[in-house]
Amino acid sequence: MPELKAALEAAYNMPDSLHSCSNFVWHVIQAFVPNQPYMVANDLVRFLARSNDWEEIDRDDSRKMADLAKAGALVVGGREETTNGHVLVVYPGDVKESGGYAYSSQGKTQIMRSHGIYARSMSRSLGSWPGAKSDGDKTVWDAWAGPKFERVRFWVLKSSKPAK
Amino acid sequence: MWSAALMGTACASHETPSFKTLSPTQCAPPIQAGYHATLAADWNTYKPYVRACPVGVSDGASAKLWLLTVFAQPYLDDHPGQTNWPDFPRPLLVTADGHCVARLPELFPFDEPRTLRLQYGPVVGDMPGEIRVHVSNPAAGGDYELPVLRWNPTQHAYIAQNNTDEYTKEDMTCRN
Repeated sequence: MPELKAALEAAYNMPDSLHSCSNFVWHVIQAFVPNQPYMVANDLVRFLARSNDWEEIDRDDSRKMADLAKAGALVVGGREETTNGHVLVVYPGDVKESGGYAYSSQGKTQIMRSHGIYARSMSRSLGSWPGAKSDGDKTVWDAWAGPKFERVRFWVLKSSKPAK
Repeated sequence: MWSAALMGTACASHETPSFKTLSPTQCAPPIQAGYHATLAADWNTYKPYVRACPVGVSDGASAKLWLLTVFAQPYLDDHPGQTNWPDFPRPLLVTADGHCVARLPELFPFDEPRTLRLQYGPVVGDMPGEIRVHVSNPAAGGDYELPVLRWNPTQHAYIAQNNTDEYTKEDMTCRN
């Protein structure tokens, strides 16, 4: 198995990942599963949901997600949308408070407050929302930053899980 | 991800015939607005920031339906050191005598980082027949609509028109 952090950093800096969540996640998965085909976010979420190689884990158990990532396991989260979904990877590190980054609303700059403690994320995004762009400094919650997180699903690649 | 074009369209102000848009400028502290019913204890922490907004045919003190909500932005402006999002009570739709007829899952008009646009109409008796809420959401997934609330005179309540998690949470209980 590849070293997770190295795989994340390599994928994060691929030219076609810079503005694409799905390209970034694809490159990470390819480090573990070389024949993984590219899929847009919505298709990847549907694929993960039906794949026997991936095991769904509890969205609300961020400590478990963080522990899996710290042990080198690949954990991918995502949510389908009617237009474009979003996908990300859990970054290896301790859980942290969400928020803490600047965003613009109603003509003023605000600092996103913490809405809880979550696992760290690594993700790229085509959109401008700062919470969806993370090199480990944001959490898995920050990409959706609200009620939409309640329908986000997470899966761990079984073959990357640490031996018990 | 969402497109700038879509955001622009979604944020544009428009009135559907027979529907009115509630402007935050119509909201005022309850007593000042003419709403005199008592608020539940969990609202007291945010009392200076509670606003009553007339929703319906009549404006001001004669309104039959009110939206009670905490204006989060002035609260946050007055508490710059607060790094955690407070546990604000969710907005209530109440009749003039304080009877709760529905609860909204998100704060009007601002529930970080989202802004809500509430429309109501057409009138059934003294009450708007429907409450529609559009959520402008800059985060992943983009804008969305809350389930339409439709007035049910028999139940004397607004009933969400599709079953979503947002209206089945424990803290969505209609009480005040």
